[in-house]
Amino acid sequence: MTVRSGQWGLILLAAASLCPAAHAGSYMRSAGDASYSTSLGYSWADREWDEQGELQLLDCQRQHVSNSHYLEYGYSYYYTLFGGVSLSQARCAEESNAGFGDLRLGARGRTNLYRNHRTWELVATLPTDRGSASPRLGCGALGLSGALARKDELLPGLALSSGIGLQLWESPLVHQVDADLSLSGPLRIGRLRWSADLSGRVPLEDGQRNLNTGLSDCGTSGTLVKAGLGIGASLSQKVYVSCGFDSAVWGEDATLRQNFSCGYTRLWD
Amino acid sequence: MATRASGTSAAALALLAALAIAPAAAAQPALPIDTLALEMDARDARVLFRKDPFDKSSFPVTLRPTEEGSVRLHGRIEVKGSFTRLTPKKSLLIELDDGTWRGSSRISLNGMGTDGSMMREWLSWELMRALGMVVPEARYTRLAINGADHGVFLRIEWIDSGLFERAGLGGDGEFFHPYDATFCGDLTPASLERSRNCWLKLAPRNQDFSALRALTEEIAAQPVDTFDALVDRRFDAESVVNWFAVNALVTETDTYNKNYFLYLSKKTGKWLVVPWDYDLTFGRAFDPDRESPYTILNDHFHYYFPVEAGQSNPLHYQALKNTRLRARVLARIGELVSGAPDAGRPWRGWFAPERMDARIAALRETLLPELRRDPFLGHDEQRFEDQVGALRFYARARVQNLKQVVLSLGTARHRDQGEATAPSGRSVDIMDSWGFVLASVAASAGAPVAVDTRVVRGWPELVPAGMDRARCVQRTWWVAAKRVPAAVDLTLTYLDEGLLSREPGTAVGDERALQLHARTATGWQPLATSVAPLANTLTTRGLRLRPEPLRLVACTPQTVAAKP
Repeated sequence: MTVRSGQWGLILLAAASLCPAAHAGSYMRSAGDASYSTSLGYSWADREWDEQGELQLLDCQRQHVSNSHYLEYGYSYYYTLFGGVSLSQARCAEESNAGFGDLRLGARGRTNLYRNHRTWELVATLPTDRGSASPRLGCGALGLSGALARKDELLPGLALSSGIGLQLWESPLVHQVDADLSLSGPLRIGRLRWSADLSGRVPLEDGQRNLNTGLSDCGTSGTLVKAGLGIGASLSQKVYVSCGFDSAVWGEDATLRQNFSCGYTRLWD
Repeated sequence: MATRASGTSAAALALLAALAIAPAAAAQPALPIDTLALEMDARDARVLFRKDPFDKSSFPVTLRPTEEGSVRLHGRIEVKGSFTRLTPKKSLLIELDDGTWRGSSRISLNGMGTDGSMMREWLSWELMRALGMVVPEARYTRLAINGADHGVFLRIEWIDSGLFERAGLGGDGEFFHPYDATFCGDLTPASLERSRNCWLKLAPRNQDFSALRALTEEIAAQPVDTFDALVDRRFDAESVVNWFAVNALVTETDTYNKNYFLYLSKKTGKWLVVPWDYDLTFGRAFDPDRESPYTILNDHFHYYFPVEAGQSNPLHYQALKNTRLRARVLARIGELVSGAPDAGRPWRGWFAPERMDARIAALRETLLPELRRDPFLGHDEQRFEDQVGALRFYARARVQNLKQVVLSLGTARHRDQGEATAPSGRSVDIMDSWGFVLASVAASAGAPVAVDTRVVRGWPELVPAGMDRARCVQRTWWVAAKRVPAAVDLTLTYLDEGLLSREPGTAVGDERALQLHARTATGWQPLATSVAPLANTLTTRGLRLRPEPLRLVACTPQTVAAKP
């Protein structure tokens, strides 16, 4: 037996989450089940889109190396709890910063009492270091997001995941709407699975431009669309590995960031 | 003109009547049914049976006292099992925190969601208990949740050290079970490769598989000629012989790589086999050509698997190739299918057709009222009757098949052809040399009737005028009374083995609509026909047979478009 397809979105995305409100999960864990994911990620950017959507060179190449840790626990049939934090190093020219990124804590529940992959999610983002100088390791501000997510099997072996959420930020960051779509399925080679992801965000208000929130781009007044690919494999019924690459593909007042990460997930049930 | 029979359960009842070869050997004692009353949060109760099948969440539950002196017990309830999770009537496991109910803190309730008769598991466990095997207790248990009837479940004792202690084997042995999701616990040395994850060690809870590994290596190394010595030396040999005999009788083919337990008793130093999972038996079988879940939830029917049938397993394979062990297995089957119990062999005749028939009839009487109250299965009483009919036919046909092709007790000499004499007021099966039941004939009171039957497989050469062959069964029956004309009740069989091996034509649709047609001197005559669509039998009553063979075909009525 291999992992049920429902868990893959989470496994692939847990490895790649840099932006706090990037994706809502649609998988509800059975009561008492738990998972731990860790990932190593590298992000970089040397260009950004200006307010007219023209690409401009950044002052420096921004780099971000992180080691993320993420836990999920099936508190009951009705609620799954989760939380994560990353150890990061951010660099911009000669400037460098290292330490903990933001802490995220959340709960997920069912929008449909009888089936999986119909969820709501609430996530709190707690900055571990509000005052650190650029380059930032996280967003540096309190955030609260609410999202809806679902996953549907379009065809045997092809699933569509979708989600939409509202991310609220403490000033001066601006509130955002996030949405994502993802296709996934088995590769029919061993225990491999693939995923292809498209996500984006738009600000809900005009805010302070050129907020330096580093590569995460959280809470800026820019608009951004990203695309990504992921591949994963189950090593056993309890252990999975995955790698993913994503890149910003279009934006206004946003960084053209690229990210590569690989992760490991262990389940307990 | 005779017409096709109608009515919801007429076909099944007609089949049962046609198969009633003898009065019940003995009155069956009333079957006790326990009652388990649960209380739980109303939302949890709704969710329990309707949630995502593979969710493993448990919910708080309280056992309400139902008898004098009993107390409220608290615990958690969850859906258990693997394939049955996909059926509406889930199997359940209750784990009690603060006491025991009927002596157990774990209550395992099989929903029997894959067995429309609700009898296959119970019959199998009772058969094994009759053989003196170390097997769990099985009791029908009525379940009520928050006062609402949830139907009858089969409560199967949780297998743990208590079972082995009760059997005098001690509870401190090593206890293994193939991991059923990986389908590879087949007793080969390769099955112990860690990466394959074929086995679970249930007790003691550690990862020491050395004893099991040594056993598999011995099995692999033992020559066939002396394999019986290994079984006698390393196993509780009776548990092995009985396991194979029971599996052959009930056609359990889904067992040898996942559905059994192994217990190494410290007290005896021998391995004991405890069989497991008997819902896919008594004529039901896995069909690999269908899409899941219809690989299992299908209406195909078999009673003629060889005793070697089943997933590959060297213990099974080598044992049946070893002359002495094979003889022991066949002797055990022979004891079970005929004879009367004696002090040394209380299991003798347990599976004899007339005793099985009485047993199944008694179970039907007990379970039918329960079924009518069952919110999951009660809407389809016809299906229950069909399944019961198929079960009764299986119990009879399987024995005839084994006698013919395995036990050397048959008399048929030709394929697709056979003869038999029905005693006055009784019925008899007409077998062919391959062990197929071609027909059953019931003679009315009067002189015995000798009947000859021949089957021609394939699309019928002749069918009634205007009839599309695709609406017919792919066989033609020739039936004759051998000496003098006689009126008989005749049951004819056909095969529906799997998606790629079906005799009903592609345009037959609902097999209940099949009707027998006899070719007489004046042309084709339709016969009133009762169809048992699971057992695959067609019964017509009061058919006049003569020494000249009568040609019969079975087709569904033609749909004729009205002319403008």
